[in-house]
Amino acid sequence: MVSKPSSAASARTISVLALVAAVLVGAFLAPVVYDAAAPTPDRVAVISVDGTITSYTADQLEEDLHEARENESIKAVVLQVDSPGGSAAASERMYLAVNRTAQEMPVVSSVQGTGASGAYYTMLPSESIYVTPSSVIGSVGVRGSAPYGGTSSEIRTGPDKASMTLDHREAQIETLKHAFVGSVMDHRGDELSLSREEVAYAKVYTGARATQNGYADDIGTLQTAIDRAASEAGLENYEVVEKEPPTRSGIILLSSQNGNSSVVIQESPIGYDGVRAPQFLMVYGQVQYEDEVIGNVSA
Amino acid sequence: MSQRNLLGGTVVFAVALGLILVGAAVAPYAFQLGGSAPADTENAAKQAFDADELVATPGPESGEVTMDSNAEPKTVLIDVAHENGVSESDMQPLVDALVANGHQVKYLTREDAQRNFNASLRSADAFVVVNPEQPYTGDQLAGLRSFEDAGGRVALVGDPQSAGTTSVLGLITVSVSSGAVGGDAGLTSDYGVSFGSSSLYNMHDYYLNYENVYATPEGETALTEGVDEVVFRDAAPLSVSADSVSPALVSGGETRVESIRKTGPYTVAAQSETVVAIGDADFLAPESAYEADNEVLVGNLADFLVSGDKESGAPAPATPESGGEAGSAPGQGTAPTPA
Repeated sequence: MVSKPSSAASARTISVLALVAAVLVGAFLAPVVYDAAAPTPDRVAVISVDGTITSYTADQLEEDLHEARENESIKAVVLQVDSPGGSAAASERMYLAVNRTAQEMPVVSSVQGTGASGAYYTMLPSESIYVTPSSVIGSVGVRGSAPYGGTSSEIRTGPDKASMTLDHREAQIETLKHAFVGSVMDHRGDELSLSREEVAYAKVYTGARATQNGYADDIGTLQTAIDRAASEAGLENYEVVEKEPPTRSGIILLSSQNGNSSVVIQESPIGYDGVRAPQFLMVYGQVQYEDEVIGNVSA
Repeated sequence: MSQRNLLGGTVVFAVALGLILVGAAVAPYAFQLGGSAPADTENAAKQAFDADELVATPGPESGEVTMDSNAEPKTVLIDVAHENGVSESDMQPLVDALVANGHQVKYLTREDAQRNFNASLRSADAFVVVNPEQPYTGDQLAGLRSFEDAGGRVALVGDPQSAGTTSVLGLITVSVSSGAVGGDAGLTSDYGVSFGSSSLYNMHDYYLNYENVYATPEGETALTEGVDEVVFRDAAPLSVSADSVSPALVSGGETRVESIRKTGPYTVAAQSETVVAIGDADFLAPESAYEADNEVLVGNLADFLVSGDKESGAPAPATPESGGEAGSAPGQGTAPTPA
């Protein structure tokens, strides 16, 4: 009979200890459980399109947009654009990636400085394009070097293996132009006050003018674009996540020649090292490969 | 605390821990089975483009450069003495046609021109000038006039010239202000034709590139007989100011001059009895000679060159008095006007 009080006290002690242990463990696990149980906040992803467009730029944008599509918390995308364009093939890839994303969520673009040629191609599928008055957009065109003859010191399996006729090169560039101009008309035909032929002139326009002729939708900053994207996605409370622009490789000197933007490309980031393969470009400004000037008109 | 209670607690602890560990071990496989979202097999890229609508295809290059003329063998002199911006191979279709029809083709070298320009002309029936980059001397201009007055045939072929270079015929130095004005106060003004210095283009109707413009015959001239349409790459507009000269080929209605963007149509070839002026040299080259009806135009040009009956002995040897200053005055030029 004497042991009963002692047994009861022991049971209470164990209970208290268990309670304390439960509290301690609970305090440790509660935040984890809370985070797991709490709904994920909606997000607007801001993705940079910056500098000369290369295959690496396209890789990064495709990856970022793929992540945006796969991440359920990302409800809208804003493209933060400051680029004169670049490789035609890379620009086309970026356009396609944006186009696919725009079919799943709102995409809005904000031009920070230049959104020309391949960069303009990239943001065509956007719900809205915001510019500042002094930003530059447009240059809907393609350029490429004229064909060069093969060398007599090599043996080729066909006459067009290392070169081609001027007609065929012109036809290739014209084909790319059809795709570019056609995409502009498809995406912005309702807004544009310009005809297809006028678009094909490949002019660039200031942001102020672009809002008048339909190349852009409105004057606005990056924040304006973010707000618009969130609105299009029906978001009231949201977070903004920013994707860092890809590191530039092998580029770039920017200078001014004869009043035109000049892009001097070093180490040929658009081409292939050691191989002088023909390149098709969607770029605004003067392009120079080493000592060879390919062209000096906007395109 | 009884041993039984302790044993029970230990068992529960072990079972719970075991379940957690087993769960942790199985979870990766379970996630793998669930996998990521199924691949989107829809080809969105193909939906964005219709290849059939995009592709531009070069036209067929066909036909032969033929001559209708049955003229007696003539001598055609081609100027390469004035740093002409054309190689012999660039005119091969024309040369081949002339030679195949029994005519002789000679090239006027720099040495020939310096030694005795008029003597070279005397032995020729036709003179072809393509894109000269050195001006002619007064004596040479006088000799050319005499040659043409005597019934010699002259073909003036030139691409647009950039400002600050010599004129399309190399006859004088050009000072271009508007970019559309060719300086032709020399011989070409005498012929009533001047060449524009800025290229033509057409954004609506062109061959593969906006600078490759189509031109169609204007009126009836021997130069355009059998021609429906030609393609001129980088063509210069011509201004025709003499009644004796008729426009022969005219570009499309939506053609513009690159420098001033003024809408055409523009004359790109003109002909008088003894002179043909063509604002494009590329159509003579093998790469372009067989596009559209260019080969017919080349054949007609060959016929024109051998169509004359030049007086013998012309031009006479140059004298100090005849040297004159013809063609040495600065060109004033006239803006090309729509045809």
